[in-house]
Amino acid sequence: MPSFLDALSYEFLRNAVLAGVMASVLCGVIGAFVVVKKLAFISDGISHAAFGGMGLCFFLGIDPLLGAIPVALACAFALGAVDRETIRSYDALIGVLWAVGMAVGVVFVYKTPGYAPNLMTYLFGNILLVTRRDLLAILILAVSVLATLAIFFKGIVAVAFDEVFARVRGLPVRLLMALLLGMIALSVVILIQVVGIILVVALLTIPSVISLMLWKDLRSVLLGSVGIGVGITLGGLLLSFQYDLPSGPAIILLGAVLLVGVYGMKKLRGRGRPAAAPFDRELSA
Amino acid sequence: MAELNKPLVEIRDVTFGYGREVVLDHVSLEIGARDFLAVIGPNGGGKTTLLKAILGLVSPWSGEVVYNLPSGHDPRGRLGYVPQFSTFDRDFPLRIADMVLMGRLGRRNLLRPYSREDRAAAERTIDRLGLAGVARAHASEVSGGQLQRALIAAPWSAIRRSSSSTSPRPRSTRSRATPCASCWRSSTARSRSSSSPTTSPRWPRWCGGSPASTASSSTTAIPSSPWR
Repeated sequence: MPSFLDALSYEFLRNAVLAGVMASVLCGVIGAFVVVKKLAFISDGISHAAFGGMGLCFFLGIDPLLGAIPVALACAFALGAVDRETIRSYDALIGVLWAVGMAVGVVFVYKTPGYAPNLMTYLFGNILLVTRRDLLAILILAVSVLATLAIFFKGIVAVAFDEVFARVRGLPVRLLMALLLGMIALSVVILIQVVGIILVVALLTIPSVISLMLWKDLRSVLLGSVGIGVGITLGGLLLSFQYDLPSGPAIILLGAVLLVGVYGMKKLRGRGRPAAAPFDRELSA
Repeated sequence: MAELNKPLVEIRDVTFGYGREVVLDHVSLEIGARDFLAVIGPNGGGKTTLLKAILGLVSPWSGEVVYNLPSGHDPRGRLGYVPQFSTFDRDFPLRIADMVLMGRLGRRNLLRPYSREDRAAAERTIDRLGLAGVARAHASEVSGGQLQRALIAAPWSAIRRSSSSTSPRPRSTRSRATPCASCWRSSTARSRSSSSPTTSPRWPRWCGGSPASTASSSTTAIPSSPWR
């Protein structure tokens, strides 16, 4: 069996590696905001809702990604526009979009004559099927997201940190949240190709959760998150190559093992040191 | 030496509530520059709602909130706000220094990097509030008192000194800043509690904190025009 390095002479694997690296840079950066602002469920909702758009496109015979992008963005903006405080069942609303998107997608797949293996790869991902054209699309999306984030970085950090504070400072909170959600939506669409709809949230959150356990300031968290994301993506690809595993799940499992490992290490190291107890300190302050 | 003869913030006959429940019922209040105001009341009494109205976070059902700042000054970005300590997310990955610097963020520098003046102001505030030793620390690593001071430092650092030669320099020397910080601590403590005072009696009873009192009251000789 040829080694991974030898196999890189195949274009499909090179494309997979490139797509994986770009996707994990993106998920490392955006994922950090998803985790700290607790937007994981929204991201999951967007990812599953996008399936509806993809189903429609598949039915019409056009590239499913063309359906995923507008549906993902629409969900993101709709969820952002809804005032979290007036709609008490915000969670349920996300769940509804999640389910409706999936149902619509399945209906269209059902109605499309013939078998639809490609659509299943969007559920579970298959980074090995990434074409050069897909790679270009991923590159364009990733660059747009990262550029937007770079431009609005301070504002988005402020909004993620404390929306009330941002509003009092006169920042355009709605716009910034819409931008953040839009960036999440586009990242989700990219990640769907890498790990599939079902595992998108895992790839978005696992690297950042690990990074937040290891580092305490934003810059390090973002860099760490990207590094870990790239690491588990490449490692997962390697594992899937060596042991004939599906690539998406291999990436996620590697990430999960790393997560458990880092958590365990922290617990072992932390034993003997009293944890910060904010309320106790508050009384003695 | 305020040359404004109007109060800084006027709450005129404001009525507001949530859903169908009225929380502020025809409330009127004047807050002058350099006033310290303590709002005491039972839970659910409308203290937070009143603050939200002052900060412009909610629109009153009737009545209005009028700001009398020197002409041309937009209250947004001029009001400071200290979040409630107990609901603060200590796990957010920000250093104390970054938190304070973020207080300088506003519409004018949203897309531009922080200026040298921004960083200098943040540093000055950190020094004045005794946070220099923990500036590089993370929010979860400092004591409760230090965190409270950091929460105060952020809007504090946003107070821009007037560069006009006609106005007096705001007196914010070190000796004034420390008792002010103590005042702020007592105010944040009070706004969380119910009506019983919990702070030491040596602090003046009227000493508290209204976000408006951190509003930049850089004065000029020109009378202000009310902002709606």
